[in-house]
Amino acid sequence: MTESRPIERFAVLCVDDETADLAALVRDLETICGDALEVDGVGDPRELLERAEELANEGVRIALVVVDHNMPGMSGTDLLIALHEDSRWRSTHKILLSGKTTVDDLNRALNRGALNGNLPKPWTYEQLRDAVRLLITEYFVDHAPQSVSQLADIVDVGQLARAFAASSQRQITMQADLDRLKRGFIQELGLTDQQVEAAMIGELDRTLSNPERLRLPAGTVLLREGQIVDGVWIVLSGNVQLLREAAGRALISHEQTVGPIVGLMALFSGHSAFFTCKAVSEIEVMRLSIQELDEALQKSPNLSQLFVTVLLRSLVRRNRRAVELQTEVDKLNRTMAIERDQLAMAVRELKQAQARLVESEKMATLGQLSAGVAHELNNPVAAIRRAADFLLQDIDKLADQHPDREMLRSRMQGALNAKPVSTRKQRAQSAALAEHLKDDRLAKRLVKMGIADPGEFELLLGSAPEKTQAEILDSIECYYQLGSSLKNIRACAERIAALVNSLRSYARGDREMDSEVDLHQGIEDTLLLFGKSLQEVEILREYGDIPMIECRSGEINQIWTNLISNAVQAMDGKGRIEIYTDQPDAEHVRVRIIDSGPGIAKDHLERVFDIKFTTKEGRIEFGLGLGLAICRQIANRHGGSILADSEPGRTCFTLELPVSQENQSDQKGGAES
Amino acid sequence: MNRVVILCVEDESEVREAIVRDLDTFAEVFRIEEAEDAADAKQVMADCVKDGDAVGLVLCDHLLPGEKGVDFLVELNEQPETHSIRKVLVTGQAGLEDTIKAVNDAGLDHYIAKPWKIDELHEVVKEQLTDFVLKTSANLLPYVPVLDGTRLMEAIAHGGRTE
Repeated sequence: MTESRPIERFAVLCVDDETADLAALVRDLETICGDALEVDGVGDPRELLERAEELANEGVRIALVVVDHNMPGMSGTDLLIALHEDSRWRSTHKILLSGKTTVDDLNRALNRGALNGNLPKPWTYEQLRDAVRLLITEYFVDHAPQSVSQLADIVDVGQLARAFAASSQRQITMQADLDRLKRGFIQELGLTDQQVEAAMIGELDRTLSNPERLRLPAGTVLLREGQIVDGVWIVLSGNVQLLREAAGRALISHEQTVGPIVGLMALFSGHSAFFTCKAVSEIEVMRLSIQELDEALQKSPNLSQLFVTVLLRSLVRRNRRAVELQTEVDKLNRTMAIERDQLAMAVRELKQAQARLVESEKMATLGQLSAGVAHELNNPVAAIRRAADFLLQDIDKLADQHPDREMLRSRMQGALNAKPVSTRKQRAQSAALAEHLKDDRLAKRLVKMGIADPGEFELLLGSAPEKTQAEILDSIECYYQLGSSLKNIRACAERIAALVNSLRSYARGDREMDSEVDLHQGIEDTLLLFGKSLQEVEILREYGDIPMIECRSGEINQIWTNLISNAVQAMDGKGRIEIYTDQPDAEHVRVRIIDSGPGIAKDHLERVFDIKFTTKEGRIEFGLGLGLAICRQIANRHGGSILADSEPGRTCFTLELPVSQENQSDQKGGAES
Repeated sequence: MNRVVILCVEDESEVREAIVRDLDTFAEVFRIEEAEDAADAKQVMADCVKDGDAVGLVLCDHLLPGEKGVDFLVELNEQPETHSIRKVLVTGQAGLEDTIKAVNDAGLDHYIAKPWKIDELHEVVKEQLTDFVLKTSANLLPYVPVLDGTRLMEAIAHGGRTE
């Protein structure tokens, strides 16, 4: 057995700052220890600590240190204390070599158990040998009995035997104490709290000959927080609670967990009361002064055990309660944190809701305003349109009185139906005509009347004498201009009417469904309305064969208006718009409007449909800022959908609408703003 | 024959027709030209120079396709040969910034808001052209009936051109 176990290594360390002393010390120790222990000597206390550390790391146990007292930097006493305070070297036996050690120093080391022997300096070999042998033997017997055989060469067998005997006697006594202690606690482990408490009170009654029982009403304060405690209360019946004041409020720390002994903690720790103790019901108590308690404990060894048991159980309960309280507090804190977060979120949401309300209020105001303006404009526009027609009829009648009425009427009709001619073309025409007529101004005037062809001029006026020619020309010009003015009045009235219409569709979509709507027509109308905004935009159309659909055409046109206007804005007025129409399935039509603008960031894609209201350069941009939100509302009201997809240079809005509204639950109105 | 040209730059034909017709009273004495955008206007001006005529007044809309009206006027103001042309903005759609630019950088002489009134238009054209011919024309007499007769007659009495 011994052979198979690796031989344990033991060492003796010594330190002395005087080289000669150190050499002598090492030599003596080597002689004493032989092969049983390694001997090492160092010249400095720090070095000794380092060496000890090294040895510990190598698994070498230090059985003994021999330390000179007078050393620079750290005294031998302090070194021994330092070693002793490290658990690895607590059991190491320690010898102090002292020439001029003060009693104080020695006491200091002794009191801490950091010194096992003291040798004078200079020492004799015999003194050292006896001390070292004794301490090493003790060390081995107490801490390394399995290796004690290693000492055979250096220690006398009789000494070993005596040491063993002493050691076992110490152990036997200790074991007995321990057993007794264990038995006591274990015995009581089987008893209930009430049984232990009853036993304790019985013992108190016995030892103190039935101390007085007090009956105290609810509310009585037995202890007050902060007060010096000079005795304990034993609570026999009724309930008390332990309170602590915090921020002007009493916090109940214990009620069910108080236990029958109150005030003992403060008494033992020598502090003032930690808790205030207050009766919550009528209580029956026993008051014991320190002296009485002491007396009882001395009289009955059982009592101290019972007392400790009761106290321990109370403390365990209180401790458990404290942990529970802590857990509770922690839980409450967490709940509070969550609630605080929820509250903050609620506040944020409220603010957002308020902002949305303000926005929708603005929208509603804008809607009402534009609807109002639109209605107001409708009358004058209608009147202008009608007036233009009446003028035409009346002029027609007037023309009857003119000999050339047919010619003049056709001139006027020509002007009414004339397609706009670019200024460039007009100039080219007048230049060509001037070439023929040799008269710049006449040529210009004729072109303005729609007479650009020299042949036509000849036909109309060629044969007439010059004076008549001028009269005829005046008449023609007059009728042509009448026609042209009427055409302009009509065209402009149409434009106003269209604007009024588009304004009106911002108002609530309470119009009836149109049953057969041609989406292509709507798109084309819208493009037309955009007029000059699209001058630098290339429009690419790929219209599929899609059926007429049932919808509120005004609203759907609003979608085209908003989508195209957004596209134009995104492209800063220049670029390409592609419009595709097709059917994803028989029940739906799909329109895709794609622009070549810079695109929308992915995380903004859905937000573009959020309601927002913008003013640009101080002007209200009808339907631009909130355009997409309106588009989505309209699409939803029709049971359709609108989605955005974007990459740089290609932003696609896809609108899908049902062909028929029959199966749509939301026929009218719907959720608006 | 050297004539002074009034150039109207306006892209909407209905509006252009109306302005040009409102300028009819000046047509006896002045050559009236129209253009639908800045590029077209430059073409017209080149033609006028070729014919030996001088552009005296530009009535210009702001929101034009391509080059904007104000930018066109700034260009005119910056070139020595067109610097003295009287410049009038006729617009309903120029924002504050554009207008400031027109006044500061284009040497804008007048601003007519749409819809214009014919009296106002006549008055502005008369004043601007009177200024122009006083500076540039040796013979002021033909302009007396259509422009500011009083100022022109005074100038004639004082011996022609005024600076």
